Amino acid sequence: MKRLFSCVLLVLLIATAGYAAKKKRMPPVEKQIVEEQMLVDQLIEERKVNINDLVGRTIEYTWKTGPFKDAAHVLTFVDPNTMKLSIESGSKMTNSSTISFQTIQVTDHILILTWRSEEYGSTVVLTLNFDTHMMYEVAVSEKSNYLSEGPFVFKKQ
Amino acid sequence: MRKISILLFVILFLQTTACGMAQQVDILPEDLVGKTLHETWRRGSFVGASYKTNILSATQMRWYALTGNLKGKSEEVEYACTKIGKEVLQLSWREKTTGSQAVVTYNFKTMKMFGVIVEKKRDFLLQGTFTIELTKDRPDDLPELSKKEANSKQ
Repeated sequence: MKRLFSCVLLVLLIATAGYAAKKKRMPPVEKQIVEEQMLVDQLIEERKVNINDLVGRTIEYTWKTGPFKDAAHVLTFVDPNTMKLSIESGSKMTNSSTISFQTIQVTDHILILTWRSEEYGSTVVLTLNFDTHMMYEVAVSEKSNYLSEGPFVFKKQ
Repeated sequence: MRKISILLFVILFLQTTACGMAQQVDILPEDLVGKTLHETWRRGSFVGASYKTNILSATQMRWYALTGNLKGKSEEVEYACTKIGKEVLQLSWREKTTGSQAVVTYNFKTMKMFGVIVEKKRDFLLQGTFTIELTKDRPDDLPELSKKEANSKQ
């Protein structure tokens, strides 16, 4: 009986370990692609991604849904409150504009960047999920809200 | 023999519960429908202001200001909900009553919320806490139109 008990216990332990390992082995497709980059690996390994980790780094993103679908962007963090943002216009990228933003830390791996764009007469709320490497934008203009989402990757330096 | 059976049952129960809990954290926008959020801002310009928000459907909700400078006001608004992470949802809506636009991010693990309230001249960044419960079937929980109907039937 004791042997049976030991066997059952062993099976349960293996099942638990297998379940945990399986969960770890199943990152989203975007994560698999991005994980090839050493920079992102470093960030994910860290316990908490905060804005200081991003200073000097550049990310590229393209909206996959929403009114700005397929528009590509390049965003470089200059300091914890300043970024440079270029948006694809036709086949060229526009000259980067310098933006002052504020940050909200939602979880260890989710950050919100927000700023008022006088140029476009709107407030932008940009949410980055460093676990899934997805970005979400709510652009609030005078007349309506525009929601977009898409994956982001770190540009190799 | 009996002791071993009980021990096995306990281990199996713990195992099932643990695996179940690991999966439960995943919240979806549709999980909010039929629920009421009780929200209070704890940091920012509206500290102490609290609200009750009934999620009526996948696109409609009604907020009630319980305390603060909007106390007593209420509005049914159209909202959009985006799943940001396993335990994080982001709601955005536009208010006619106040002229404000809100983008509020809810963390259902820590029960903290983070708001960006957009007004004509400036934005307000707020932090708060919230609780969630099933919407009670009371007339004061009903949308304005249903409330009138309920009262006229009495």
